[in-house]
Amino acid sequence: MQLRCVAAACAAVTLSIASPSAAAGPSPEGRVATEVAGYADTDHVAVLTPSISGHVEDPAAGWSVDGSYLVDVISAASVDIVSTASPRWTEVRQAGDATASYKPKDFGVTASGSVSSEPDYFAYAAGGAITQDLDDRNLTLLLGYGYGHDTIGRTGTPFSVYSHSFDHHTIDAGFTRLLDRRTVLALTADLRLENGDSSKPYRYIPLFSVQIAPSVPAGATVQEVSRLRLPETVIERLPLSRQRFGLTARLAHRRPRATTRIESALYGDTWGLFAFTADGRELFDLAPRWSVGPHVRYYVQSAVSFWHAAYVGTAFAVPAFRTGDRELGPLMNLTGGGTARWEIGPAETPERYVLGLAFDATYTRFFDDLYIRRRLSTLGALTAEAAW
Amino acid sequence: MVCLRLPAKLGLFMGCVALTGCVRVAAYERGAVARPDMTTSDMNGRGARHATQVHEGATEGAAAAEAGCGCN
Repeated sequence: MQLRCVAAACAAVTLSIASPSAAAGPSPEGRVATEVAGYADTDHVAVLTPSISGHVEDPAAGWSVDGSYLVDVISAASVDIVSTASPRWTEVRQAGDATASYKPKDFGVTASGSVSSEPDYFAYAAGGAITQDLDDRNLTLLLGYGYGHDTIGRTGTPFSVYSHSFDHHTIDAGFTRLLDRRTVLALTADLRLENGDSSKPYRYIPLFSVQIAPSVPAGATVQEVSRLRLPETVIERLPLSRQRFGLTARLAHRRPRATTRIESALYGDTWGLFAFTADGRELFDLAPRWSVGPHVRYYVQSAVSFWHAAYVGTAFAVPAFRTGDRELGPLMNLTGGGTARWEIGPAETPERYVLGLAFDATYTRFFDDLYIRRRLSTLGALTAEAAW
Repeated sequence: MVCLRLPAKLGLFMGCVALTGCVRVAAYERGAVARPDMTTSDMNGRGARHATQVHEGATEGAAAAEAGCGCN
């Protein structure tokens, strides 16, 4: 579980360790970056995400401000949509966030907020974190809290006419530790408490008779499901509360001409979903201005306790909880890709202007789902960054 | 005898690592860890983070994950 407010605070933590002296410069420094990312998969989903972000800080005074804005343009004709006889749809989401940090000495505070809006979903969140440097800034402790509220509706219907919502509280605690001159370790524990209805109003769940359900094969086609299912379908219904716990460790190690980054995470929640993540990245200094390297990621999760590929029901009795969200089912992701970074600034400050390129391909195996058993997705991103 | 569950054991171990047994690194020795690629934050871009949130049920970010998933 990765919390955005934690990420912002961790950035501040790293900064405090990396910049032990507060005499880095007399005036504010800034950075502006833009990214254009494109995603496509074999389930006929495509997403284009342009974004822009900015960062201003005064190392001498100890403050920094971050902000970002992005637009997601989604075009989808996935099997979930086709199975409900719906046409391809295109939707736009806009999102923004801001973070302010103040850390004049060893104690720091961070406040953050975010908003996300699309025709059938509106969410906002706010949070704060405190950090404390110890052991001559070799160790930094972090404690954070966040609150968010999500409203789910239907496209074309005002939220005042139809919507439901859920709240979430997050508590995170962790530390960043210098293990030696070239190695940094960060460990974060996250607790997230969700209350409310997070069901999606578009997800219709097919029902099967008790005799047929066991024989419905994983990956059954839309035609097979239509032939085997009962005439009735029901809308998704999820439990109204969920407690989620995550533990994430990140290790970064610098060698003479390369940086190794390793991340591992454990996750569990009260819906019965457990997950493990392992992520590795190597960045080689190919030339004074160039760095390139591979990226691999492995992720596996179990299903929530109420997961069934084929739900049993009748016209008079349906399962209390049911979902068609395959990210709540058993699955495995294997990702391979790489990144490249090219510093194109002037000779004395080459890092002033930077171009970046990232590419990942992910193979997903769904172990117990209707319609689909595997998916291949690709993601490419081009970034440009300027600093002053 | 107190029976600690796995997360508690891991937390205890990592806490010990954090608080003891490490070399103290002086301020002037931190050039390597000051590099941008040594950050302990997520190095993925926004697009990659969004894809991860959609593809992984364990990854927080409901608002982001509900958009662009291509699902109903």
